[in-house]
Amino acid sequence: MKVIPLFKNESHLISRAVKNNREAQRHLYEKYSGKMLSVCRMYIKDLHHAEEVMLTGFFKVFTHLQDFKSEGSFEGWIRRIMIRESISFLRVQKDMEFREEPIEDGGDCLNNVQEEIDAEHIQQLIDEFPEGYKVVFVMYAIEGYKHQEIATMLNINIGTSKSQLFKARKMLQEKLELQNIAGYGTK
Amino acid sequence: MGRNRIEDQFKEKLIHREIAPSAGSWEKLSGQLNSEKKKGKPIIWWIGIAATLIGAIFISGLIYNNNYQPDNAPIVETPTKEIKELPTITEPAESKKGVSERIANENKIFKEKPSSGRNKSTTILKPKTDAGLVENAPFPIISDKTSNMQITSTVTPVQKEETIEQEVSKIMGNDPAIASEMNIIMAEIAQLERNNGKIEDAEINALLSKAATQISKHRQERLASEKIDAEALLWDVEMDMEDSFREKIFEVMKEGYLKARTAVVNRNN
Repeated sequence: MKVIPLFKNESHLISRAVKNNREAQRHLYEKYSGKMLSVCRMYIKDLHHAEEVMLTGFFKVFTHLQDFKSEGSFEGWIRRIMIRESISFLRVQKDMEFREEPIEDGGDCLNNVQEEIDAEHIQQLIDEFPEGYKVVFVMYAIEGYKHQEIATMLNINIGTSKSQLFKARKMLQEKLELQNIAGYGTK
Repeated sequence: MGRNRIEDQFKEKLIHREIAPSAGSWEKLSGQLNSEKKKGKPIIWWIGIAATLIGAIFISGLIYNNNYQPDNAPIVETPTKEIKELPTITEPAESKKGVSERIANENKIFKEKPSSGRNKSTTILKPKTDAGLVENAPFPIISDKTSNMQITSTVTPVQKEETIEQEVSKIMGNDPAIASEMNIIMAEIAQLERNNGKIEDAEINALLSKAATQISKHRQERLASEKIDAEALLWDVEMDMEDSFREKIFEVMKEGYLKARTAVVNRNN
């Protein structure tokens, strides 16, 4: 039995979802909810809170779907909404602090990870960062934002963004060395 | 500060990661979307109603402005009747000289026509109460140009006498001093007629002057005793003026208001 898809492609899904077609919206939700929850989880330690933020993000996606101009990928557009919602959540929780600290010379390059490290382990390492370090590290290292974009979104200076990243990398290095994962100095 | 390989490895592991949401998450989101949909409709209704009301008020204002045409003509009080009548003695604030002059003018109509041999064109109009009034007395032609009483109509003598009698009655009725002096004069004239047989004009003039003096004296006495209420005078004048002007303004405003109200009601229906 051949299953005939109800919607031909994503653009068709999106056009129906704009008209408040609940079925189309459900399809989009099921397609992207897993990835978006992962995005929120990178910033928010508690999974329950991360899911709530993800639902808030999807609510804004479907109520402002007419604003999507189809200039970039739909996934990238949803992702940006999720990151903004996660940062707003952390601001409300008042967990985020950005301290202006001088950048120390050297030690800003992490060595390769010698052992296979899974995503869960990486997430655990990131969760141990202070909120300010974690947000900047995730936005720069994982999401690929530039310091200028990070400074604008977090309303901080570019220097603060750089120093936060430096501190995060230093802390990560120390943790990896403690766990004997990074082969520091063996090269 | 560039990227390093650990970060690339982290990115590769995390960027494709998926975490399955809890079971009822879609239902929760769907409920939020449904409530948002319901909330949106009344707002649109209220916006529509508000826009309709604003439009109706705007249109009614335009209609009112178009229909309301201010009366550019000056509001002028026109007298209700021609001022060609005998003056009435009602102003107590007259000067002594003015009073005397006016009384002298008025009393010209009371000049007696001689019983015979006189061809003067003046005659005395006796008061109505006087039994000796001659019905067929010649038509009184008062040719004194300084007088205010010029009879220019072409009524018959009898009708003219009646008009003059009415005016005389009015004058006498308004001021008792005049009435009393007139009675005194008539009595003296009658006495002179009995004594001398005929009366000279000079004697009549002397009697009239004396009467005028007495009347003005009575008036001065009355003025001194009477209190003039300036407020009442002003109020009377103001009410007379205001009634007509104010009524006109109210009428115009009332018409405009009713028209605007009708337009709004029709628009809403």
